[in-house]
Amino acid sequence: MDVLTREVVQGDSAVTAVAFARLLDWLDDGSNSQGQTYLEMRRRLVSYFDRRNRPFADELADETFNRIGKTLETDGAIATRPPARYCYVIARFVLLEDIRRASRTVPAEEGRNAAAIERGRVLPDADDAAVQERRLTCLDRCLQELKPEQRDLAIEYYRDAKRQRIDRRRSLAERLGITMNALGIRASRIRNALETCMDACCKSRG
Amino acid sequence: MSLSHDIVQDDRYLVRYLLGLLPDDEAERLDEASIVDDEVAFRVRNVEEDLVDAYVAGTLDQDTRQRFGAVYLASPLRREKVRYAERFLGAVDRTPLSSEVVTPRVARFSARPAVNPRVASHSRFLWPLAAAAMVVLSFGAMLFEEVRLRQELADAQRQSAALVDRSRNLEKELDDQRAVNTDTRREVDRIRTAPLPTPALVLLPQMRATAPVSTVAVPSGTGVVRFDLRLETNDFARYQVALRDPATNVIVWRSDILTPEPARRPPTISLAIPSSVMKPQHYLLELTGRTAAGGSESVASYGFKIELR
Repeated sequence: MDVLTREVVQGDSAVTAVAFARLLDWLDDGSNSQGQTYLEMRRRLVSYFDRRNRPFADELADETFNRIGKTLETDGAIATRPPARYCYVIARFVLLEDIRRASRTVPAEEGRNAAAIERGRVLPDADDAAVQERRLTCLDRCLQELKPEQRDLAIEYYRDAKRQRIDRRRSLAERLGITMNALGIRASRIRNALETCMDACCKSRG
Repeated sequence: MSLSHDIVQDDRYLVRYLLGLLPDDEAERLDEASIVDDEVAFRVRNVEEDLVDAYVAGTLDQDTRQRFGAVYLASPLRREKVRYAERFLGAVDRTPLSSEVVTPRVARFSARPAVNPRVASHSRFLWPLAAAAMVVLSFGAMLFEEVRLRQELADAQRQSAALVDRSRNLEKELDDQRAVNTDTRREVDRIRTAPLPTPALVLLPQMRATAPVSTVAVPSGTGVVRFDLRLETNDFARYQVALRDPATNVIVWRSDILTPEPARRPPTISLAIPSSVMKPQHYLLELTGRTAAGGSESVASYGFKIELR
């Protein structure tokens, strides 16, 4: 991130506990997801900023939440509904501001990455062998810690390629009595949970 | 039919969105839908996963693959998704279903390739891939060997450190033991060189001159010889004892004023005579009582014989 953007984001990053609590309630919109809605929305925002090629998508997502939290803290309520739509509106402002700031400077990191990719270095952030091995070990362990039905669903859903994969998924959806979309959502959540588990495992093993 | 329903039915459209091939207005419309609309959000995620998996498996057509490399891999977060997909698909391929027979895993490194085996099935890139795989494998083997050697070195260093610690502990134990031994030896020396306590010789007053004489065996180095002089009656508060050499009739030693131990029965006068004043011969202890006026009266005499050992 260029210096100017980093300063602005850091300057606005102080959100109070009250504002954060109100943000969680507001996102839940009457339900009680115990933070799951927040996590899901944050993931969507990060993907949004990332697809727009913003180098620090995580921080921009947090900045979006901070602004909403402050509005909730000062105004008490937000009229725009559903909450996800308002999130998008604010995220778009944050995106445009970030693009405007970035146009004034050329982040050295971004330039270096682009140059590396152009030279054919496909995955420039590759882990060393020890980290790779630890991640694989953790992933295996997390996979084994899943409930058998969840593990089987992930294996069946993601195994094979192309035609076999489609056929297998159709068969699986029929067997479970759910739509292909519902099956995809379920499988994706397991895949995401495994990634979270793997990251936590790797951190705990240092 | 809603917008989201149209979108979710067309995977190719979503792939074009993910690869930055849609016009701005359409991309923006999908941006919003992928945040606001749950169905679109999850569908985009599923299509993105399948796109990444296909890249890992090497099943993308050439144009898509090039576009993927140029656009998708430009982001660190997305590159991380690709790396995770490699690991995840590898894990899925290695893991049997609950209903499948579980085969034992052996030769972990060979059974767990760094690149998913699906990549190797991509025939168009077979030879370059094979060459690259050889390089990767060679490099991987070198890395593995280096990691193994580092591990062994670390183990050896740990063992060495443990041995040093053990050695230090043993040295300390040895020093402690030496200190104990020194103390013991010092104590033994002290006991050996200390004057041996000698039991007091109980002497009875001589009633007859023909009574047998008690013999006191004095070991070499004995400092004092102790005597307990029994009294028939305890008529005085204070007493004094004189050691007489009967051969010369000379008093060779005289005690201080002594008092009998009040609780002791029969009444007894205890005294200690330096062995240095005595020679191996007969002696006579003369007990006198001291009167309140300062005078003295003979109470009894006790004969004994000294033997040096």
